[in-house]
Amino acid sequence: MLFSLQLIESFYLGIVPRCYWKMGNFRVFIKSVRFTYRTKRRFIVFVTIFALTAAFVAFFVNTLDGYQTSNYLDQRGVFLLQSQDYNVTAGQGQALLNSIRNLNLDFELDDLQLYRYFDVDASLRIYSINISNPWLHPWVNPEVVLAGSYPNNEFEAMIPQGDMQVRATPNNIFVSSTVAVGSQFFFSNGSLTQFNNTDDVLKVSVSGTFDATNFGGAKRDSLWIFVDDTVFDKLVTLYAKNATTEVYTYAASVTVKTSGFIIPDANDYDNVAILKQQIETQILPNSAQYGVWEETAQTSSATVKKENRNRDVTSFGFAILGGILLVTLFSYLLSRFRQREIAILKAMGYAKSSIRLTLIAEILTTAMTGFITGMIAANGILLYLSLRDLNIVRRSAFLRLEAIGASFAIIVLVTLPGMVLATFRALRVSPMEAFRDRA
Amino acid sequence: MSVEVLLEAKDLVKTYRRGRNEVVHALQNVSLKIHPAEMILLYGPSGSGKSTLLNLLSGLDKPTSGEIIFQGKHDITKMDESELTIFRRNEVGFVFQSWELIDHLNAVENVEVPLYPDDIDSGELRTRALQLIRRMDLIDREYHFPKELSGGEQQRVAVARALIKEPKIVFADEPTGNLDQETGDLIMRMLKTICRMGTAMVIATHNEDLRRYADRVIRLTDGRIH
Ligand SMILES: Nc1ncnc2c1ncn2[C@@H]1O[C@H](COP(=O)(O)OP(=O)(O)O)[C@@H](O)[C@H]1O
Ligand SMILES: [Mg+2]
Repeated sequence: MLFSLQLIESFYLGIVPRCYWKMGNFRVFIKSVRFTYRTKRRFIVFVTIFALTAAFVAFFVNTLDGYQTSNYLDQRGVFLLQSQDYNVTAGQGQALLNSIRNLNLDFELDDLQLYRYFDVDASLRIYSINISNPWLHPWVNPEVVLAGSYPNNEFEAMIPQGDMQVRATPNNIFVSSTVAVGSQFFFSNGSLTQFNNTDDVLKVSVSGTFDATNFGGAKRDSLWIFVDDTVFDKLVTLYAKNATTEVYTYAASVTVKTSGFIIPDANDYDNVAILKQQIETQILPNSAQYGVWEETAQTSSATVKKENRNRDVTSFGFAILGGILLVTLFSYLLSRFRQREIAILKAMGYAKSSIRLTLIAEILTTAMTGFITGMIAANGILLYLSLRDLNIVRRSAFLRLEAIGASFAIIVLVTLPGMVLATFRALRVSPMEAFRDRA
Repeated sequence: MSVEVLLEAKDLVKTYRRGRNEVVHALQNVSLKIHPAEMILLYGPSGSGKSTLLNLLSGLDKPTSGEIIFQGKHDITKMDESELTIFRRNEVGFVFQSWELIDHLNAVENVEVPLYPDDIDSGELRTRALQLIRRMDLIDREYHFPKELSGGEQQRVAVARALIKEPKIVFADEPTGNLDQETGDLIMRMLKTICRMGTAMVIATHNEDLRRYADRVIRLTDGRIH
């Protein structure tokens, strides 16, 4: 609001300089802002128009890119994964991560993770995940987790249920019979928060036979439980495993930090190719130990480039079109609605600068209220969708900063010429119109 | 009555063009003098040119020919738009037939509006507006919106608005035209009182009853004074 005020002030400074800096005109502005809220019907109509535009732009920038390029754009980053399960010790895994970290790259790595597991017994395997970064592992991706069931904190675990996984708190780990007929798992001391004390007895027991055919469509012969890294470390000690020699590294995942207005772009994709090459030249000699690396992204660099261009052109087109519509409609209607009022003000001897100020105040108030309303509305839609269907809105139920910024920029862009047009039309109103007899 | 002249019109002619070749002679060689604190009734039937004359005298419109001299010095027909704006701002008040209050402003605010752009303290402005409103016998109506007020009350707010700048002259175009007789008389009595306190009034009307309030009646027929 303040920012745009300054922008507009300096915009008008070029046209009507000094006369604005009178105390009286300041009062005209402030009063006009307040009175704008009183013109109820007009205000609501215009705020709605602005809000719809703002929400549309924000929602468009925020979400629609996800529809256009499957998988790859959704992730907002790019994976590299080992192509096969390859068992190494934790020490070997760390060495691998360090060598990746030490690569001389022009771009930043967003995240580097090691996945570990250990088998409690033949029927139960515990995996480490980072619950604050769910996108880094396909099995714990919220896509396969029942809506709303993703762990909230590190003391909650995930267990399979049907072909999905569900959140489990230490008190309610209960696997439905479709997954494990007659099987029940429980932490006998009731709360994982007590992991701090390794003297506490913590048991994960399995009884009956685990039938994993329903989970992910793959035949697995043990039940997998996913717990946060910190809990995992405690479980390791609890089950008397040796963290460096006995815990197996499962896979390492590398995410490239993406850049640009709408992320990621083809350039990021190319960065992954570079990274892969680097990893291969340095690590390939040890591939017997670490396995072969491959990308999980399915979209080619060329496709991404093309889709990005199409998307940019479309969104730009939409924004411009909507903006033009809005400018025309708003300025036309406003100067018409206020025609009588402007005639009265003119008859009373209001200077052009004062009349212009009343209009600027009304347009600004409307545009900014519309913008804020639109952002709240767009976020509401996002929130609703994210609760209803995780596949549409990924990672966050909140608008990205780029989306809000784009929306704001377009509202300001639309508002500036609208103001010029509205004031131009209004200043041509003859004060004699106030005299015209009305039935 | 003072001999000095506040506003003098000399040979005012106003012709309108209607369509391609029809010409309307709205005013033909109208000359008149308005003195300070004088109440003038511009009386004539509909279409006789009353509104046209008010528009010219108040600087809202320009005559086809003729002069309008303010306080013996300034010819307002020769002023440019910004000079006219200043003239209206400082010297002139308006009262309209249909009041023309701003709907979403309450009574005090409507009265204050003309002075918003001036460098006057907001508290002082509010005090002045409230005093004026109360002088119009609008007690307990100060914060009502126009649609909550009767026609007569709205017109009294409009009169207060015309007076807030303490103008030298007030133009009123059919100020009682939308009011019943009783309310119309009330408004006229108020205008008369204000006039007595030093503000010249030019009131256009086609209502003969109002003639008794005037110091002077100027009859207008077909754009001419007799
Ligand atoms: N803008 C205009 N264009 C053309 N003719 C006009 C215009 N304004 C007034 N007239 C004509 O001028 C004459 C005087 O009109 P007006 O001053 O409104 O009269 P009154 O106020 O006494 O009813 C009328 O014939 C009217 O039709
Ligand atoms: Mg008239």
